[in-house]
Amino acid sequence: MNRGVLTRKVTSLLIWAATLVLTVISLFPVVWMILTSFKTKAESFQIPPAWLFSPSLDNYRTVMSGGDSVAILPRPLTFYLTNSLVVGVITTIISVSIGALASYSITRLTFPGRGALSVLIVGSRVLPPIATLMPIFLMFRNLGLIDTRLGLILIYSSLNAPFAAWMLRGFFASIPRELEEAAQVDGSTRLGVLFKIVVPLVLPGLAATSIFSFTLAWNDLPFALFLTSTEAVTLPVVATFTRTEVGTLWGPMAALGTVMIIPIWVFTLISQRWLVEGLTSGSVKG
Amino acid sequence: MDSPASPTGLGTDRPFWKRIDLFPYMLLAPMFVLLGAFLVVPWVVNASNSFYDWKLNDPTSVREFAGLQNFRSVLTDEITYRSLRNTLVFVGAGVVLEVVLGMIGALLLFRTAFMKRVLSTLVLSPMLLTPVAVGLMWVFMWNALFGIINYLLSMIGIQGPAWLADPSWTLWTLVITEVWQHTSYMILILLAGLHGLPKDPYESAKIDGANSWQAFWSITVPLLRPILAIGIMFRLMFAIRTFDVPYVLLGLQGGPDQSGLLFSTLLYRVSFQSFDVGRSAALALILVVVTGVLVFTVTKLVYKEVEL
Repeated sequence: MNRGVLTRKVTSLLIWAATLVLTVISLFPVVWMILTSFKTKAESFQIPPAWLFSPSLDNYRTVMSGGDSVAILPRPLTFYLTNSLVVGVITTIISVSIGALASYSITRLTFPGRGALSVLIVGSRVLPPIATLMPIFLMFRNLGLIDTRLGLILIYSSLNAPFAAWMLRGFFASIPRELEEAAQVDGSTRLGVLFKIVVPLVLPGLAATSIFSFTLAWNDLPFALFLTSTEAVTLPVVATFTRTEVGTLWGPMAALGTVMIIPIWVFTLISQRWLVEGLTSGSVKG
Repeated sequence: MDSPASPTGLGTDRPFWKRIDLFPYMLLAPMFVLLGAFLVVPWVVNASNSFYDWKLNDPTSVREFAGLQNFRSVLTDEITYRSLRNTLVFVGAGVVLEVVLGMIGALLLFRTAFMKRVLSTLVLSPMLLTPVAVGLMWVFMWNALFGIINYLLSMIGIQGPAWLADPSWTLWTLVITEVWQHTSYMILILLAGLHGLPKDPYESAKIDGANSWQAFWSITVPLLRPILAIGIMFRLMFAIRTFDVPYVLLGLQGGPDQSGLLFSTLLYRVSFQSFDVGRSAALALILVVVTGVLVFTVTKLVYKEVEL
């Protein structure tokens, strides 16, 4: 083996080792949380940390039993899980549909005011949503939307729809124009072209955008914390309940954290490729 | 829905509103209804409220015109400036670290020869994780008594600080936690950028005798500038409004002596704890101005031709 080959092999091994370190750092907190969720109270405080232990489901039992004397949550986990899922799924359906229609319009059609309207949609993201908490609270108070899932769905849809439109631009732009024209010659209406020709071609984009939209709704804290109290409380809000006056309940907290993170992890792992395409095609094509 | 041109000509005899093709606007209508109701209306309400005195937690308080009183009181309050300063440090240090570490991470993944796809997926995974869950986990890890971080530091002979309980460390603890989660976004877009780079400039540089360090600075960095500008713009925008992780780590007081109080935490506190409508509206408008100025200047500094 000559020197050049050896140097290259060593370099490549060093790069791989460094990448492994990066991977461990990226995964560690989550793995640590999942491990902690299966530990008993004594084990989770142990120093040096317990790496090997017999897994216990106590923490999950604690968060599943709401309302009774030993419970730490006002209601069982399933109640909050249902809220989060319902809000997340309906928000996704609304925001991706509305975003896709708008995105198609500004990327594929020509009409007066197109540039200005697309700047308005993308530019709306610059305004920090957290600064609209108070006016939205006042609005919702008048409309009776405080502490309702509908209220959260409306807010999240309005935040996610522009994002969906932005993310889908690259996918719409990559469809060959001839396909649409051919269908129009065949006598399809323009809505027919959109649903029969264009939508099937952007399905990967719609999937990636849906996952992203669901994640944003699933993850939100500030709006849910401010606008809900008992009935529409979602998982991120209830997770903050584990920090009590007498200290944090680490085990139940880790269990709730694990429940919140696992779906997101599964989603991103299976849709990584589309997600990367959606997040970068929008930004590369600016 | 379709409005084909009239067969007799271009339809010049028809009135203006009938000649306009409504289809593109109809597709955009639902979007603008949503934005109108939940973006335009709240901001108009904010702008108006900022000139009124109104406290929701005081039953005797009525909405009363107060002129510039809210702005005067907010802009003379020391805590406003402290939170702004903290936010600038938090955002500045965070984004710089994310760019540097993101570039290193992207280059590593780009050049990794084994298990490249699996490792990329895992390294990119923190980005979308629920910030509340991430925050709670880090609170556990930062704990001075039984946290794993100080335990690991003690193994290499370092006595770790009290992190979230030590006023001189709170802000940096926030920065590290946020950098852990959001560097993955920077890696993602820089990695995509690296995959899109042309091969030719590198080959001619090699012929000219440039080493890989020189090639990185003279070819890679300039070619990645546009995508770097987009990445920085997005991270700045989102870092300024960060609420979840600081809230979980330090609470609405911003930790001991409010040492880690961010502007967004202050805004939330004035809205949610004091229910002071007027002041929160004034702070909201200040946050928009700060966001606009910061995002615009920094993005232009990185890349002049950026447009969005």
